[in-house]
Amino acid sequence: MATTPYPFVAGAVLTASQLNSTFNVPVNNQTASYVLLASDGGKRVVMNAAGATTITVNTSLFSAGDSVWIHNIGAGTCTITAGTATVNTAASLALAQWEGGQLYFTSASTAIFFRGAGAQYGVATGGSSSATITVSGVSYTMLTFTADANLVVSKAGLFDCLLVGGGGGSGNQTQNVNYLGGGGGGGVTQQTIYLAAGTYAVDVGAGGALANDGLVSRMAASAQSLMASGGGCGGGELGGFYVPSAGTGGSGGGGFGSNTSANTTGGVAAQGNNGGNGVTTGGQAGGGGGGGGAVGSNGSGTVGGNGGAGFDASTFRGESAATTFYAGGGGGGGASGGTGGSGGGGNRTVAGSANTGGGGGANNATGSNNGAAGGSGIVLVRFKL
Amino acid sequence: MSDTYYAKVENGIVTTVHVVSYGFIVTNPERYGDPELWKQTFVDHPNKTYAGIGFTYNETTQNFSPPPPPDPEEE
Repeated sequence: MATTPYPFVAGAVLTASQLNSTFNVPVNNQTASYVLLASDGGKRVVMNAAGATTITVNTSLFSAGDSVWIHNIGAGTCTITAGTATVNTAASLALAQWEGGQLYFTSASTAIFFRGAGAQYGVATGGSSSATITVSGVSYTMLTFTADANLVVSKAGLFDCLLVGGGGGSGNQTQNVNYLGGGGGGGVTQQTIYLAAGTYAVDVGAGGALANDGLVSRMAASAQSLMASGGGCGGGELGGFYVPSAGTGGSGGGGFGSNTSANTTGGVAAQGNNGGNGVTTGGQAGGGGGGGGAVGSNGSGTVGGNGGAGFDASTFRGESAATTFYAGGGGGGGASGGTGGSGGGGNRTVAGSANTGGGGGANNATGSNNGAAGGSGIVLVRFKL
Repeated sequence: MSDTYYAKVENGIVTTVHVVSYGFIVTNPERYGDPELWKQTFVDHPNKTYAGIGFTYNETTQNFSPPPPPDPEEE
């Protein structure tokens, strides 16, 4: 981008490029809390920080009629803070990502902040269905992706995205083993991102087969890539041999139990929860898979642990609380298997529900009874009408 | 319409599984590569094994099987 030698001085000769760029107000990029300087007058201060920041306004730097534009493009909230100067406004001085406004000085010691509308939501099509929803009185279009597809952005702007990875499969058995772990729920991630006009690939994670972690759900964008991990598989055995560890994923798979060992596994930070432990003594029950909202329960005696509760996505979907859950953990195995967590977690020997990211349920009897696969994930994209 | 699942089979081994239609695979080669590598798999078919990463594919039976057990000497 061309820059202009602002402020101009007497006798300066400007090139055409510099003259043209006078329509582009000079930028002062900042990545940490900042105190305005006199040289910021007439410029844009652009904050880009992941964490919370402040922009401090002091006296005797500007004159009546001077302006400074403030833009926050970072994920962290940027708060305009009165230092020694007074800052008046009819709006909040806390700027979320993509928000901004103008500081207009009425004197050397007083400014008024005129908050702008911030970045606007974009418009897009794609997915298997489109619906109009209402969230806190605001209407949105919500696109639902239940299989791989493209998101086609016709108008650049903001989009709220909720991604759920595929659920993990339960543990596997090929002999009379009765203490498999339940599959973990798929990872859950929710973010608001800015997308330019264009086409973006959306992958919906498949559920994991027996003894397999779930697959990743992702949305590829030029500057940002969103990803929700698959759920971890439950512990068990493979081909007649013990698989000593349950999988780690969005949520962890439940551990299998044995006379000598038990395990629990971790979920991906901020995307899920741990699976439950299998029984260590007696070896008769596996742990429940972790869910998007809670850890899986431990196995107990001959009863498999219940799968962890899933993530409550109701608010995102414009529904009453506790209406729709995703990424429930699968029930652990035992002579009596555990129940699956809310959000598609599989009950005894039942697969995780499709398009929930629920983990697969483990076995539910002694004998050759086996567990089940995880459910596929889902991707939701919404934008304001 | 219920979802369809396809496993990518390279050198006889499953490398990934997607929830996708075959038509979408064919029309997006930059994303999926050679469509011939993708084989349909089923979550709830009574006579078919749902594919997982590392499973082998049998062209004759058009079915998948889990990896062989590890060598007991290495247990």
